[in-house]
Amino acid sequence: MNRSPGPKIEVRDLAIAFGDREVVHLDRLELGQGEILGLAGESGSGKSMTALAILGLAPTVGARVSGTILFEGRDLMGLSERELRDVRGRRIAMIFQGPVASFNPVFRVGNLFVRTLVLHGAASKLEARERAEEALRGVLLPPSLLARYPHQLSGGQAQRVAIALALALRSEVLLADEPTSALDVTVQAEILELIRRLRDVRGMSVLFISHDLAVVSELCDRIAVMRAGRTVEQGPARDLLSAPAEDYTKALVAAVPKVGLARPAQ
Amino acid sequence: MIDEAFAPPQPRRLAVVVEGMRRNPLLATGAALSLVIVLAGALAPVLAPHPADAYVATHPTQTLLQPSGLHPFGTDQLGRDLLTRVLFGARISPVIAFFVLLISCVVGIPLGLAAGYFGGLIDDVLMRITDVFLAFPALLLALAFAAVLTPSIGNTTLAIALTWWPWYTRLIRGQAASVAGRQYIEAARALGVSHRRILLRHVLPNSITPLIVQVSLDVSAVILTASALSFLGLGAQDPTPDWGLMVSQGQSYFTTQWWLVTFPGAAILLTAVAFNMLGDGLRDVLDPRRVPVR
Repeated sequence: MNRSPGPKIEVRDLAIAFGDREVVHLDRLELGQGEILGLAGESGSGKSMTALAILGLAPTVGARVSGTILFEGRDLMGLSERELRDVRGRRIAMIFQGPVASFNPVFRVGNLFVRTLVLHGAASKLEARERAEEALRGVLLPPSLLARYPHQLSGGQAQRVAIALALALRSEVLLADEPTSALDVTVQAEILELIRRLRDVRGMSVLFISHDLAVVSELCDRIAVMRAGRTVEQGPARDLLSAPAEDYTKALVAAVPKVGLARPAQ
Repeated sequence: MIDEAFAPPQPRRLAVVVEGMRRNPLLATGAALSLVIVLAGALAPVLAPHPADAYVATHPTQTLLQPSGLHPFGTDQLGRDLLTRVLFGARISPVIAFFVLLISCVVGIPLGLAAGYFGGLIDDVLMRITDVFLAFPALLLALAFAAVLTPSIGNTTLAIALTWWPWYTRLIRGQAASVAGRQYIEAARALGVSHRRILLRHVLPNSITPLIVQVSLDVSAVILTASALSFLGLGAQDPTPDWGLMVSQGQSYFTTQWWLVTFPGAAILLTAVAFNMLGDGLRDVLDPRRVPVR
């Protein structure tokens, strides 16, 4: 695995505001090459807005964004809409909480792959289809799923398909916004395993957003805990979980149910 | 260019429609009836027993004859063969309806999509414009437009279309606004899809269903509006075999000579039913959630 020294994505002084209300203020957030960074925190703490801002999509929901977002040292904030569209999907892919809802219901899965791959530079429809089939095998799904409509997929299958799309696009960064929250526990474990494998085999960098510290702690190398738009604490997953420095992190860690242990009396 | 190379897979969609015809008798019936109307209009000069009666000829000695072998639908107050006029009418009313609805869609859909998807100022401006049009009763507004223009079929079409498009803009706008907030639109943006393509490929197909149904329901409404204008002397003028005009002129004879109103009225009814069935059937067949797995 090739880990270059510079971070893949580096966010500095990122401020996101709706009107006068500032919802996110991040001093510093780094995502290294081939790293899985967990972004944890309660709902409304600004995790998803941060991911949208990285893709330059925060303004489309009415937010004002300022600061610096470096992608391989290049500031995404200065890019035109056209240049950003090239980054989205092809370089940085995003997957969402409702896997079925993130597919347009009128397109078959195969059609979706072909359109997206051609949009991002696949040479031909045939090549796109081959890449799609290969990507589906990469997420352990049969290529026959390409003939299905999104509503004919289960939640777990749909999320795998979404990941396969990122795989087929050969995206270098995956922004995963609560990708497992809508899935049941066994399927959730499979998706987490899949994301880990993508990192190990492909060296993909992953920003994994979740309110669920148990999930984050299982998967991530480093964790940043957010609250009210600011990072409360960040560090290697092991350190942060075994010895949380901040009260908020302690509270979050304490809130994770532990199998086989009685709930600590408080 | 990508758009041309990857236009929606036409043959397959056509195959879906053909397959749907087999499974969906509603669609098949609607299509068959529509075909009958189109053929009636196209072949009117061949099919009609007395083609001259469609326009200029009058027969003062044969007025108001009952339906018979010579005149299957009877004759009107000027002695013209009613079957002939009803057949030629298929070239007038359905065509007016077609163009009114076409213009309304061409104007209404893009404006509605833009308003619903972009929201904000665009939405406000467009919706206030539609408000202005919708503030007047449709028929009254059409009357005003028709009165300003010279009475002719083309101008009738234009006048009705002017009052019709705001409804479609409204309808599409509501759908588009709801679709614009769905996650797959966000996902498409996150994949780097442009606004134009999102509008055409994602918002439009997911917003169009209610409009298809509305358009199919509006066919008869347009025909009746056009006939109301004709009745008031602002639409098609007398020798024109317009169904609406024939109904309104036959009204005074209805109690004694029923066929004057009944046959053109039945033609309007047939057209309305045909297009309603066609619209309903198309909606069922083109909705992927109703297509069986293969």
